[in-house]
This record gives sequence, structure tokens and C-alpha cells, in this order.
Amino acid sequence: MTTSIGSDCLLEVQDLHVEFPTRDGVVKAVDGVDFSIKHNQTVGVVGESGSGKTVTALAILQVVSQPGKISGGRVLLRQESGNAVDIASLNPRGKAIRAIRGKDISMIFQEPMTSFSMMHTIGFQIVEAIRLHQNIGNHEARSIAIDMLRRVGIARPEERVDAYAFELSGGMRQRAMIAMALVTHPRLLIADEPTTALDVTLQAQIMELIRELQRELGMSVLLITHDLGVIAENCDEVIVMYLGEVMERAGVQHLFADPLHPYTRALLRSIPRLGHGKEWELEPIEGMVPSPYNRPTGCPFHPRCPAFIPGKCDTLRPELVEVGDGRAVRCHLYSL
Amino acid sequence: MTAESILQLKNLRKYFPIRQGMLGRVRGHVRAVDDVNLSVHAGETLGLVGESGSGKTTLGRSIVRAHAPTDGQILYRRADDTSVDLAKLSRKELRPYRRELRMIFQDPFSSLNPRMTVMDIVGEPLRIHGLASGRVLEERVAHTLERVGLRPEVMRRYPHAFSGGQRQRIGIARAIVLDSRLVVADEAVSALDVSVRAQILKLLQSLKRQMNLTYLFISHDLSVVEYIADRVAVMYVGKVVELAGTEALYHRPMHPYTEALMSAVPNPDPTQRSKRVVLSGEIPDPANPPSGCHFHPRCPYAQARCKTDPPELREVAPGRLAACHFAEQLSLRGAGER
Repeated sequence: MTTSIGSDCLLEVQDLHVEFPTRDGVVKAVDGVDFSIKHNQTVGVVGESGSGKTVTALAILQVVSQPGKISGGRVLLRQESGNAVDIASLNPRGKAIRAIRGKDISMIFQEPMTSFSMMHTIGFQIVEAIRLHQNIGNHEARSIAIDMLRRVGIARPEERVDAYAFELSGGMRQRAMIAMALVTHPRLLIADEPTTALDVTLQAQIMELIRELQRELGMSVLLITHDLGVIAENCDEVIVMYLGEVMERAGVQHLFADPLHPYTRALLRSIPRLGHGKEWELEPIEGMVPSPYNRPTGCPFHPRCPAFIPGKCDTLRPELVEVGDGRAVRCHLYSL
Repeated sequence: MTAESILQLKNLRKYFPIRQGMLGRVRGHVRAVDDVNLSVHAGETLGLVGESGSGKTTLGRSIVRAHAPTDGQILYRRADDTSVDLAKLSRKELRPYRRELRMIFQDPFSSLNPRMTVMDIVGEPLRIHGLASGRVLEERVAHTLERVGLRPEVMRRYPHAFSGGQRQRIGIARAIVLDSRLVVADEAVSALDVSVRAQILKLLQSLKRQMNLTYLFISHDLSVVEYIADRVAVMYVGKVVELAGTEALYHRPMHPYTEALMSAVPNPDPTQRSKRVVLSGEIPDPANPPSGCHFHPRCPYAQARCKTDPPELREVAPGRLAACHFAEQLSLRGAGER
């Protein structure tokens, strides 16, 4: 394993493990995840419930909730100085990680109410975020906050800056959260299902806003979603996760044109396509996502896999192997 | 009531009062469903799409009389061809119809009582209506569970022991255990994992064929509705703005809102990153909707007339209804041309 970060990478996750000890045993929420994010790139993480996509994101910020903890691996971040720091080795409550959170890496969530406190105005909270990382006065920070609110498309930002989160509509709240996350000009934005709770017309507005700000501010985005449409429209690279493991990693064009892993193929066959009507035959995936307490042995997808090889897939865990074109697959079909 | 309809809504309204102050004085009304005319044909799947606040859920709940409508008629045709206005019936008079009009809910986690076994949950409608008890009840429940793809042995278990997809199967079993005829499915697959969603859609389709059911399939997901529905009604701020056969609607929408909705759906094909019509603004407050056509502040084609003159839902082509003054003149983009 390399100890340094790739030259064009902003973030490199290496063999990341996150565990949750519970009364019923240890849940391996993230079990050996590898991927990297280049400068200005949008990387999508797609997966169903229990895939570990959100826990991976939380681990990058060292905010995995107790009693969960990073139990192995590295999260290398290239800092502005050019040096790499291993976030996974930092104390989750220490000064070093606090300097990174909100400054180098910001995160937005599905539900904006979880980002904002009900006790303070959104302006107060944005000003706080600015002053945490920049040594400037209240007045100046407030005008930066107003500017940012305007930039994310909030009308009358001079008034709205004094509003409480609950006074805003769903779409406006999402915009305010994006303003707060981006006001410090982070180099990486982690967006966890940022539009899942929104209607499609609003979703289109918010995704366009994120793309626009990404171009303007020059940042990388880690986009976590279960929606393959959102992935196809916004990402450069895609990571497909299942039960805490990366099943496939590919450029977005390759992934959709020629999915390699049986799970990716099955996922793409199981979603209805707009404009294809009834001629598009849905092929459901058999069974259900297994409980994390009851992980299948070998390949985690084997009980549902149409290409299951008895005696191999159920006993031997496949490695993630490089298959050219910058692609990687974790499946015995490709490691023969 | 036309011969082919199982259900016909006439000028249906459901207003929720907005109360204020200690005395609870009514300060206004949320017009969740505002003058809806719609018929559901026997044996079809009618899709009902719209964004949050469009009134689609309230409409579905009014039909199964979870809400008492404010005004209008809900004409329901029984198997013996007599029809009855459900809107006028009292709770007691409604009881026989509750066996025939059933509902499936979105959230398979909160719609099942955690303290009841699967047997109790699925069997409850049978017991309430005094249709079965003891051994017979158990057999009916076992049979229904098999129909929805669950093993009958699971009937002694509690809901927490099941995954989202299995819970939704239990919810479906509860809806079809009686002699159901019309099933209102409200976002029935929206909370499910992608890989499980297709299973439930297929299940709903096969049950419909086997049991001669009619579905009102309410969803915000246009791709799912295109897959399952025969006809589709589009709602916006309490009103139906377009109604057409599924193929016709997705091929060539005739209301600008329908076009915008389709355009906003992300396409799972990275070679087709669309030049889309991004609507500005948000769905208006149904307590205080815009004048004229409710859609005019967001409509890219709006003209002066749209601000003042509310458009009627009218026939704009054979078998197609749209509530837009310019439906015939506009040439809108369908789902295939994104």
C-alpha cells in the first residue's frame, strides 16, 4: 500500500474500515473501502440502505457517531501547503480535525434542519462558520454571509439573513445550508443525498446550483445518493457500494454503458426509465439487502447474484481488481 | 356515471381550515383539493403525479374517506352496477365500502402496528368485518401472505423482524385480504431500496391481473408511474392540470407543468445530460395560490391572460384533457426528447 497521496488527488481513502460494536456483535459498516477524489472532480457514491455510503462520508470528517469508530485504513487529504495529512489518525475532538472541518471539507445533508440550530438565525450561524476559520470582524463576516446567500439564489438576502431556518421554505433552507457549507470556500464538498427530500423541480435547481458553485469556486464534490439518475447527470467517477464494500469503480460513461459487476448490472436493469414506457422490462433483484448483523460469507452479494458460482462466491471474498480504463471490480468473474 | 368507470369524482373539494388564536377563529383555508373532476376506469391503473403540496395524497385519502370531503361527489360503482355517492355517507354507512376500497401507504415502517403480529395485522380487516375467525381466518391470512410472496410461517412474527420490502408486502396483504376492488396506493414504493422497488411493482401488477383490481397509483416518481399506469393525471396546487393516456402524455405533454416535471427528472444515461427546462421558484402555498392559472408565475410560456383568467380542464385532443389556454398552440417536449 502506498503511504503517500497521488499527485493529482485531493483526497485518497485507503482500505478504510469503520466498525460499530453493538450488543449483537460488531457491525462492519465500512469494510475496506478504497477510492480517490481528484481536484475539481465529482465522485458519486451509489448504494442502497446499509451500503455504508453515509458512514464513509462521516468517517472522512471524523464524525462517525458513537460507539462507531474508524478501525483501520487511511483518509489522506492534500492540504493547501501540498502536504498530506491522514484524517483517520487525527483525534476526532482535536484541534487539527476542527481546522479541516468546515474549512477544507464541508458537508451538506438531506435534511437541512439537522445543519441549523433552531435557536439562532441562519445569518448568525453562517457568520460563526466564517469567523471560526477567518480572522475578521462581525460586520465584515455578515456582509460575506449576505453575499453568499445571494449567490445561492436567495432573494432579499439582507432580510433573510436574520430569518430562522424554520421560517424558510424547504428549497430556501437547502440553499441556506449550501451557503453555510460553501462560505469558507472548502476544497471538498460532501453532499449526502442533498436532494432526496426535495421535489424533482427543486432537485434540478439545487443540483444545478451545486454544479455552478463548483465551477466558480473550483472544488471537488463527493456526491452520495441512491439515485442513479442523479449520479449519471452529475458525476465524473462512480463508486458502487454494497454492504460496506466497493463493488465497482469506474468513470461515469463506462459504468452506465458497460457495467461489469453483476450487482451494478442488476441495479441498472431494475430501475424504470423515463421515456421508455412499457417496452422497458424491469428485472427485479431477488431477495433483499441482508442485515449488517448477518453478512453473507464470501462476496456479500452472492445470495442475490445471478452469476453466483457455488463453492467460490460463498466462501472466498473477491479482491477489488483493476481491469483497465481506470476501472476496478470486486467479483470472481474478473479475477479468474 | 359512464359505463366504464368504477369511480367518478365530481367537483371534489377538500379544504382544511387554518385556525388562529385561542378561540381558533378560521383565518383561511388550505385548498388541498380544489374542484377535481376525474374518473377511474374499471380495471385500469390511473397514475396520479404531482409534487408535495399538489394535493395528490389528500385526494387519495378523500376517496377512501379517511377525510370527509368539503364538497362534491365521489361516485362509486359497485359490482352489481348500482352506484353510490361515498361523499355523503356516514361512518356507519361507509362500512361495507371499506372492504372494497383499500389503501397502501408509503412508509412500511410506521403504517404497521409494532405490537401486532403479522397474523393480527393482515387478519384484522377480516375480523372487523366479521368475515372469518379462528381456523378459517388463519387460512385466509396464510393464503394472502403466499399471494404477496411471503411464507405463511411468518404470521406469528412482529413487523420489526422484517425488511422494508417485506413490510410493504404485509401492507399489501392487508389491502387485498378482503374482496378489494379499488386500491389507492400512495407512494407505495417510494421508501423502498432501488433493488426491492422493482419486486413490489411487479407484485402489484400481477395481483391486479389475478384479482381484477383497479389502482389509483399516487407517486411523485414519473418513471415509476410511466411504467405502471395506463393513464396519468397530473396535479398542481389542488387541481388536475392534465390527464391523458400514459404513452401520449410522456410522448407529448400538453401542459407546460407536465413538460417541466419530465424535464426535471434526472436521466440515468450520462450520454444524455439534458438541456433541461429548470423551473424557477417553488410550488405555491395552497392557502394562497396565485391568481389566474396557478402555474403562471413559474410558466415559461405564460402570457398576460394567464395572470387573470383561470384555465378550465378541457378536452384538447381526443381522450386528452389539459388546463392551459395555449395547450393546442404549444409544442412541448416529451420524456423521450430530453
